[in-house]
Amino acid sequence: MTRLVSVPPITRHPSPAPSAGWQAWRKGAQRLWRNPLTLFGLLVLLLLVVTAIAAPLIAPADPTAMKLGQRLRPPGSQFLFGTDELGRDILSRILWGTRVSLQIGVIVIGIAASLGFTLGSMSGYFRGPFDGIVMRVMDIILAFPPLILAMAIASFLGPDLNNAMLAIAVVHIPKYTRLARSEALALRESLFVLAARSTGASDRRIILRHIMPNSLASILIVASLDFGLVILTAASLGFIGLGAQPPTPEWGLMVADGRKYLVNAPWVATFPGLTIVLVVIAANVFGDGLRDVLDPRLRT
Amino acid sequence: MSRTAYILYRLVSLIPTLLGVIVLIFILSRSIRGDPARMMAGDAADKQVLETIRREFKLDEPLPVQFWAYFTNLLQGNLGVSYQTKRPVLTSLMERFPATLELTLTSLAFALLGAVPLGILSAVKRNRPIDHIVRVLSVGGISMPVFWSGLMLIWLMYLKLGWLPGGSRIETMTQPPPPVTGLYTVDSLLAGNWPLFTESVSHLVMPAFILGYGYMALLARIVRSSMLEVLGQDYIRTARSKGLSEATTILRHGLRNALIPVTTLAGLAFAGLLGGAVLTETIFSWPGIGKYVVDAILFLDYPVVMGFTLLIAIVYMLVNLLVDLLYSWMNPQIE
Repeated sequence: MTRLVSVPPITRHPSPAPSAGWQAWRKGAQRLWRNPLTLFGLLVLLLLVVTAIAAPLIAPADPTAMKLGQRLRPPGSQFLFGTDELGRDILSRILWGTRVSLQIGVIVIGIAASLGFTLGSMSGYFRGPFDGIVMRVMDIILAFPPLILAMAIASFLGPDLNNAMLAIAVVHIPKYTRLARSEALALRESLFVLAARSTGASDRRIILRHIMPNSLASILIVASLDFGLVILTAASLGFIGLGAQPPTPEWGLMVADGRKYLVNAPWVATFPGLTIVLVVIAANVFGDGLRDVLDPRLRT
Repeated sequence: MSRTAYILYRLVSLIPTLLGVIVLIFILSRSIRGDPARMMAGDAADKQVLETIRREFKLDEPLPVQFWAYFTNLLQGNLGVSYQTKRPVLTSLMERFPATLELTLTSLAFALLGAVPLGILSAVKRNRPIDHIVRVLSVGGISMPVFWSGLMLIWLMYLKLGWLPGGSRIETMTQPPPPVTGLYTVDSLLAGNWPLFTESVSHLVMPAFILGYGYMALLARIVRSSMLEVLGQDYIRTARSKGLSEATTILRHGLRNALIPVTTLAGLAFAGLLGGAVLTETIFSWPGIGKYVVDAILFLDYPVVMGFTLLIAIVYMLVNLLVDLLYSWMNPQIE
């Protein structure tokens, strides 16, 4: 009788292989490296960071220096992207604007993710009335379209970049809370949490040492996917007049300024807008790539 | 539970969230720095005027009393009076709502008609050139700020080429059609006024395209990934092995199942359409509620901002309820 199924011999690894987690990371990095779109995204984002740091060194002019004799100059050899209605160099303003956008992205996501992560982890771990209250509050925030709620909050707090960042952070909290909660709900039933509890670990310790570190990866993925959206929302608020205030070189505000000169000087609105598109595309494709590598389950 | 009872149950279960929404809007409105009475009356107002306003809006009373006054007014359909125009906010919102409805519905139709075929094509031709083109178009669509792409299109189509009008619903000198639905395209057809119909359509094309494109891009991505998941299922292989044509397999067996998760996500993504409408209306001087609120924000006209925010939240909640009902109706696995 012939054997239809060949059973592979059981082998033991002669030496302990690197841990599974480490291998997954290395494999992930390799896949990230092979995807040209993700690489493009990463490159643009790195460029954004470098520009933000080096803005004073590479910008050809002061971003707020007005030279009324050089109003609305078209793009050319002297001003690569032209000048705006106050004679300011648009390229320099865009380069300095990287600082504003980067700052918005990091602060907003920092606030939203850390608050949502903490609230959600506690909610899922404790359950009961605390969970009930937190989730009802999140439902209320989710009952609004995000941009509309951010607009309302920012307009009541007053037109100012800090208020706009706070407003955008608030509308992003529920996403992180829900994710962290669902992770915590699953983790609290796991054996290692049971083991920790049986050794007398406090709730605080369990949440900080066992629940949160294990759901950190999904939080980071969502945070990286949010970067583009946050920048876009901040630019929209800036455009309406609810975000950064003049003379801050914020890209959305610059497009709004350019709107008045669309007929004679279309470059004033064109270049800041193109920059927003470039950065948001980069953030989106990089986020997509990162998600595919780190957690294929989240693929939408 | 019968269908009607279920729908009623779902409507009633919206009430707690709606109450929360009202409370949140109230709290926000009281977080204004400075004296609300002075903001309403303007800097030039004398003491007596300020006193009257304080009494009228119960601004001297404790917060719960203020809230109760706000809430009972809401129940009577009183959203307050605009500081700027001195007209009731509800009246102004209702006047402008049809314009927004016309714009969003057209964008929605455009987005759905574009997203479904593109998403299917992209999934079926996975990793082929057409898939790459669709994916680039959709990443571009979700990454482009509408306030910028709108301006660029106005510059090209209106200022440079002169093919399309640059804004508003009809020309300033044109008489609007007799109001029936409030949608100029429909009303002009009902009145049999063909030139007016083409005029309103030509005004609608650009804003609807700009607003719909972002939503289409998002939907196309969702359709594509949902379709990819479905096409890998066993029942698709079964359908193929039965000898069904590729079109039948994809449309009858694939699409019908792929669209089920798409409906839920489409409902959530509708938020983007509502938010985008505010920016699109501003760019195209479209006289809807979005432009109304942006103008109000610049004048710190808070009753308008409050009324608008509440209205949009209600619309969004109802849309998501509708989508949920549609979902359970489409999915036979849900009783």
